Amino acid sequence: MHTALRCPMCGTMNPVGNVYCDRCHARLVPMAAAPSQPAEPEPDRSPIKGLSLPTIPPEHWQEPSHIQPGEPEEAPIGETTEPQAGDDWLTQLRSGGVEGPADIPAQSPEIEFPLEPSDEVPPTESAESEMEDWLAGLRGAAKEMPVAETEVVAEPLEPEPHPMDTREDWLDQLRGGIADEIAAEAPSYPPETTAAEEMTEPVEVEIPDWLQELEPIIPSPGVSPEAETVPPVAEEEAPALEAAEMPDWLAEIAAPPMEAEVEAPMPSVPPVAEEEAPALEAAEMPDWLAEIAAPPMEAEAEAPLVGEAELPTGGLEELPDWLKEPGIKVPTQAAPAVPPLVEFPVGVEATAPPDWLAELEKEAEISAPPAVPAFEGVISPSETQELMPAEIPAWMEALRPHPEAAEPMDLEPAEAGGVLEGIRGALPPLGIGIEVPTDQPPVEPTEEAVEALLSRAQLLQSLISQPEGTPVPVSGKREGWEWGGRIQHWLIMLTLLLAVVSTLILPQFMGFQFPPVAQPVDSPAVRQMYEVIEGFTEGTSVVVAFEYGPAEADELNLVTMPVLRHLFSQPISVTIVTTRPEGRRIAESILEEVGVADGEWVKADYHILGYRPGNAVGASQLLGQVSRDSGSPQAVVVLTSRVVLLQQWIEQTRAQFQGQVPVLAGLSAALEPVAAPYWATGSGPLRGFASGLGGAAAYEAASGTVGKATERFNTLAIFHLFAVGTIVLGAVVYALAGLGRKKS
Amino acid sequence: MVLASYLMPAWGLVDLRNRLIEWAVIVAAFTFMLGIFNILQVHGRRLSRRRSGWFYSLVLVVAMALAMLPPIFSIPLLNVPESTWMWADRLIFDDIITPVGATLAALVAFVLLAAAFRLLRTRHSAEALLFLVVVIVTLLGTTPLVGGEWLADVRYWLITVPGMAGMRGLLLGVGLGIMITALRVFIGDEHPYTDL
Repeated sequence: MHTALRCPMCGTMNPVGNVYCDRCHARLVPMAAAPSQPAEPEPDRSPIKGLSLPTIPPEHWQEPSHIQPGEPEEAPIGETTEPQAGDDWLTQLRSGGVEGPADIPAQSPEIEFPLEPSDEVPPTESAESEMEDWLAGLRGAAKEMPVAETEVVAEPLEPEPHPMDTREDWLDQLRGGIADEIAAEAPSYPPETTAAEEMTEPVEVEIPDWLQELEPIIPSPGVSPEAETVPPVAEEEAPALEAAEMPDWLAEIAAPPMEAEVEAPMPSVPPVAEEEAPALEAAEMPDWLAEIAAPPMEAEAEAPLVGEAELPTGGLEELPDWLKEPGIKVPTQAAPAVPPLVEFPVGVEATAPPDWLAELEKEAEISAPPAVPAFEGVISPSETQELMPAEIPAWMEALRPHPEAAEPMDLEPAEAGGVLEGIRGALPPLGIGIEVPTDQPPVEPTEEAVEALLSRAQLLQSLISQPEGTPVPVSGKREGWEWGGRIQHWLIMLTLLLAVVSTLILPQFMGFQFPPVAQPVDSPAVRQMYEVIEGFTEGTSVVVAFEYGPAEADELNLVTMPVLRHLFSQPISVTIVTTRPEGRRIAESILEEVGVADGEWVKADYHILGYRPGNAVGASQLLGQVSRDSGSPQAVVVLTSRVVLLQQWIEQTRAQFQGQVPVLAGLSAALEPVAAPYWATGSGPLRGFASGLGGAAAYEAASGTVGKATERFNTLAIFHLFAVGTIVLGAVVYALAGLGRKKS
Repeated sequence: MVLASYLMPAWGLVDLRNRLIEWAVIVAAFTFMLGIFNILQVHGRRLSRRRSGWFYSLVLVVAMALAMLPPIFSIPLLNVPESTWMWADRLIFDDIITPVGATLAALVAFVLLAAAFRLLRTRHSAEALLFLVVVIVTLLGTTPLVGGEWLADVRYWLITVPGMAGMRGLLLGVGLGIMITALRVFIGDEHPYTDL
């Protein structure tokens, strides 16, 4: 009698009543509880399906039942064992048993182990002795036992019944349950010849003591006589075995054949299987039988099927069909529904469980089922009582829903229009200045608002742009600064106006002349230019380039006119060119003003070559054309107020004529520093130049004439005096103001 | 080829150069016309769409049209009297464009003088003072007063010595930059704005 259950996972000894291990919570009790009482014989029992139990161990199978008498016995596949003496009794059993099916198919090629042990291949001696002993004992006991009603009918699992079903009754009773399993596992099991045909006279074998102690197995009344899987021998022996406290494994064997009704009462089988198990083991029980005869508790304790130990136990009333099949132990207590981890074959007919399973069920009903936890890891209510209640934190407690406290939300009015039309709970606009386009025309701000906004924006911008530490100007000081700037501008303008008016306009209206305050400066560059032009001989070709426009005409005309007068006073040929669109017009105007058209002093002939675009390219093309038409020119006179044009003419002339042709220039006063490097005291490409009103006046002085340049030179001098005075005044004032600011 | 013709005026490179220059002049003329059309397009679009400154665009377009009239009238086919189109031409060129340009140039003198007047107010430093001194010497040296001819010599020295040195350095730098840019364009390392 077992006093504890060993856990198959961790090996911990647990009380008998435990279903789950106390340590690792592995399932100790299989899903299908063992029946506490032997099941009543049931006429119909469903064969074992979906469970692969060993049928006949190869080493113990020695009966060539499928071989017809007279036929040569076939050697088992893969084995070359010699036929042993133990095969004779089985053969005799076959011949004396119930007639089996006439047509017995040949040996199935799928099954490898020998199904038809022949005399030529006897089993091993140990197996032979085992077979002889226990089977002989069973045979003898079966003879003594009253022949029970062989009403046990088991529905044929397969169309080909097992040949063992045709043996004597006593053996059929023993193998009631096994036959169904065998038939289910080996559908193509080679049908053996009927036991009635093969089995001869039953051999009287002494029943061992342990077998005599077994209680006879009461065949179930529900078994139909057509069940060929139920050996009648087993039924006869069942009562005798029951009386002798038959072990569980044998009880399973001696149980009536499977019936269709699972609820049929099974004959009570005393719970002595556990006690007999060691005895059976000592008698070297065959393996295949040992697996079947293993007590339900031990079998479950060994190694439960994968996932079967953890399968949740559901209510018996909700058992699925696959769970009712033999081999699956159904718990008797309710358990939380958990998807089974082991999938049983689908489509199997729902039939009544085998006898041994029914017995287990009854035993389970009788025994007090222990408390079945819901699932591994789930704490049962009884266990929760032992645990200390957890303290829920406040923040989590606040999240607890309170349905009673939930108040219906007041429905906010839905939006009337716009993008959110129909939506409730939309946030009202915050008025952050986002302009929503509407059909209404924009409201024009008033002038006051615009001015206020502008002033604010200007103040903000000034504050942002001011560097750190810069004092913010006071409004009063800013107004003063504005008046001061205006006064300065007026002062400067008055000074210039006074200088210009007093020297140019008043003399003509008032009839007086300002005395000359300045004299033209005799510049070396001007003198050299004069000398070059003066040195032109008769037939000399000169190119004059008018490279300025109307904006510079007022200044450059003063420089151009004395130069042109000097040129046209020479008996030379003048070619007028330009690379500016307005150059031709300027030239014509100047020539007309100079009076070269009808003046007697004019000795040169001229022609206007015209305008060429492209700046430097045009200048180069013009020079090339002039050289082709009238030979290389003796000089090139450039009249311009732009540095680029002066440079391009100098470069093109030097490149075209390799520096043999000098360049003369009439420039604006601002170009004097730029032209000085090209002149370089007369050694450069620029042979001479006259710049500004002072240069023109100097050229007139050199040529001995008095022109507009000389007349306006005095005005220029007075203007310069006023300008210098203004500059000095401003410098003194602001210098003193700065010093005073520093001191303060 | 143009540069080579300058270095080696032989093998007909000079004639080739002349021909290439003529082609460049023709292309430049078309470029000038293209510029005129672009100005009309830009200002015409602004005028038609009444964008900001459309009035000035109107003045420009009208002025351009008026300035083109005298040359058009000078076409013999139109049989316009010479006095008529000459009068129009003189009116536009001598009496409008020239005085306006002169006025703009005169503003430069006024602005420069006003800036020089407030120079020490904004830049209270020795460099600003030196600048003002040079300006004064230059102005007085250009039109030296009677008894102040020495200022003309100072002015001459300032232009021919420090001024020329600085200008020569500037010109050399510009020349070197042009040469390097041209080399980069030749080797393909420089991509001008036209990306050609």
